Amino acid sequence: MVTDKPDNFDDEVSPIAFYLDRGLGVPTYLQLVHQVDYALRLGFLRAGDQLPRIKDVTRSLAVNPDTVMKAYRELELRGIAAGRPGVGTFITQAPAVVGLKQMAALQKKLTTWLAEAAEAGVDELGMKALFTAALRDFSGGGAASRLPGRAEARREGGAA
Amino acid sequence: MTARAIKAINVPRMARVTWYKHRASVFGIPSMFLLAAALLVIDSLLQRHWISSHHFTYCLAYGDNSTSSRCLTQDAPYQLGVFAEFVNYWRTEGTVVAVFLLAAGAGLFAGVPWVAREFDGGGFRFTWTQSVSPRRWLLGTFGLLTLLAATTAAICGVAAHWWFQVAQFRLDGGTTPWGWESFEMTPLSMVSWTLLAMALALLLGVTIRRVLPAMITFAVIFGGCLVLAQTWLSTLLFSVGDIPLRVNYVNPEYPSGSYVAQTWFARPGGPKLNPMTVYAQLPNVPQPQQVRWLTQHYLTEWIAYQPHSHLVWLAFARNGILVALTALAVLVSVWWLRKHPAE
Amino acid sequence: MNVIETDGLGKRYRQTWALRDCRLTVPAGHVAALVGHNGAGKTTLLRILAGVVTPTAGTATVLGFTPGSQQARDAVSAIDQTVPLYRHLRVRDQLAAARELNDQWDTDLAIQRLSSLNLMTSGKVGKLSGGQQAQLALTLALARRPRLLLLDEPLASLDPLARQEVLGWLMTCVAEDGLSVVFSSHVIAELERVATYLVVLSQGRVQVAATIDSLLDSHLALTGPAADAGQLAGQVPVITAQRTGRQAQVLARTDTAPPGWAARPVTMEELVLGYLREPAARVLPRLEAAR
Repeated sequence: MVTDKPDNFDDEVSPIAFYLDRGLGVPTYLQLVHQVDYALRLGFLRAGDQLPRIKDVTRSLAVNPDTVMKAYRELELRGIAAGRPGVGTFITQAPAVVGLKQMAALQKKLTTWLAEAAEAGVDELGMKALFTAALRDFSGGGAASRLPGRAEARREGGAA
Repeated sequence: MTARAIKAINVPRMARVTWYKHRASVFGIPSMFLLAAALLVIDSLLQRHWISSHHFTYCLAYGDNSTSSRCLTQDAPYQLGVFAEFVNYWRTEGTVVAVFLLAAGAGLFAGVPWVAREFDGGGFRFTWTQSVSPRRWLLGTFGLLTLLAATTAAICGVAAHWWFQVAQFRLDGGTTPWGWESFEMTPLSMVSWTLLAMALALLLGVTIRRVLPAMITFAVIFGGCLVLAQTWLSTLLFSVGDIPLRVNYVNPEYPSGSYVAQTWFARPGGPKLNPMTVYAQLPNVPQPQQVRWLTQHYLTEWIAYQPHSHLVWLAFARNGILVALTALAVLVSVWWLRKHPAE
Repeated sequence: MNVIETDGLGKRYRQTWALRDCRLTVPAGHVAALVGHNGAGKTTLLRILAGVVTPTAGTATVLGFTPGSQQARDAVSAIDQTVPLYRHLRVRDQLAAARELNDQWDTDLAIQRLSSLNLMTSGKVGKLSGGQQAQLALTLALARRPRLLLLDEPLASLDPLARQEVLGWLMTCVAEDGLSVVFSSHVIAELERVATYLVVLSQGRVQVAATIDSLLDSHLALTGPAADAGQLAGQVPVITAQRTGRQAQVLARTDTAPPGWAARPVTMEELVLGYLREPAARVLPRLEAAR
């Protein structure tokens, strides 16, 4: 049964709503950041849309407001969102989306690599481990890097 | 208490809290006193009706030696017999004791649990975390309760005093106005004992903080006070300001309604002699010869008595002592609470 | 400013010390979680801060005031483990009594909250379920508009939906009114989401007292060969180490993975459980001036 999210609060200002996956082991604020990113890529969010108000998120998810602020700050650092004092946080620009054709070509290359790995006797988990290690190394991995984007990659490397 | 101190307690708000929280005590204590008062009034009306319908009104006066009804000292057998029906010692004494213990009941069953349960039951963990201070809350709510108790105790005292005017003649024909029953069946006494009971309940509740031990301690201490007041304190108090008088065997002079505080024998210029030792030496002969024996031995019997006019002052003094103890108990409670506010 | 400051705080009951030599500074604006074994001293600490228990040794201040003083009682709301209420009263009388006992009272908040919870005002407090009593107590505590809220396992009796809703409401109060909260909890899964400061008590002493951000930044979960586990202790501060066969899992207080060890960020759950298992390990704040 499809229900609209109960309108306990004042009118929902944002096209999206957050959810939390507690078992994931990923810090809460990162989950929110990813959900915004995902929504942008899928077109649920466009430039100029308002992100859910902090007080609405804290109420519905029972999350500390600091966490939401941290997520929004991370988005600001990535240049995706910007806060307008007294109004809210808004999407400034959608991330550069890689073209569909390019995406298809990349996926084809990946499939070839997967086939090679399978032939070498690597199972699914092994493939995941290989990919994670390579990704970590590529992002400059380890704790030495302190740049936001890289710091996130370090954390993400552990989540897989 | 100063007006500012009362304002600091914020009486209207504390009154409302008392009403919300302690409706049982707010109803129970006054009901107890008022019910007792009503019963006493009804009983007295019945007694007075009996007395007047049997034309015994003249019996309601003290006889010769001021300890018994005039009727019982007279010689008419029929009147004596009928009036003797009216005399019923245990019923009156029992009623006096019951009324006397009302104050103890208020303190024991309403006062002590009121305070002790706040600690024992953990309620203080709510009350002590509100804006009102423990001291203000205790004095404001328990104080109001005490005021209510004292007021209704005074009403009960008035009823008891009125009742005792007639009922006292049921105590073996009468009783001296200096007897403990006369003393206690007054509004002043009842209010003083009620105040002391509530103050002691406050003190024990604040120090002991457990309902049952506090109730037991209260029963012991307050019971002790009740008994001590009738024995030790009375004896002590009634010898204050007593008037010495040499006994005249022909014409005993001390006025009626007096209380004999002491008796002793003395030789001219000599010390007081214990009457018991003198009685032991007295020959077993009729009284006139005994008197002659005493004169021969230069012994004069003395008494020290309290005239009736002193009674009201001594009553004030005795009850004043109770009120002073009340104030002391309250001060100690407040001080103790400040020193040990919590566990 | 600090909402809570304790120095050498101790409480002895007969022969045992429930709390010993506690030093804590919790800054304002935090939601602090108090974690520890049963009997570690959480309830005692919260009761001292609420002003219903007097310490045997040391000092404590809440919002700069002595616990139990008039200013402290005005600004701090506390709900004890036993959820103290006047159980023989009707809900509306309990509400009225609470209103009379407090100088600052938000009637609208109280009434609104109670009606949204469908709590009948004519019912007796004692007849309410444990969860409803907890809800009532929370309503009363927050209607006083405190600056600091002390909660001792208050949500234990709530069903999952109610718990979610109450936490959401509390978080809104934190967001909108700047409320600071100190609550004791056994539900570690919530901590990362709800709390920003962590205090771990162990056998009456403070084992961990730090912001959750700093804790997560300063610890790593290391995986490596079991043979090297012993040496590791000399290289980095190790909290717990578990050896299984050839592999060892280590919780270490470091932000760099030592060579030969794979590192990943710890979760709050791992961190708290690690410290609970290892009572000797400590993370204590340096002596800094309050910000």
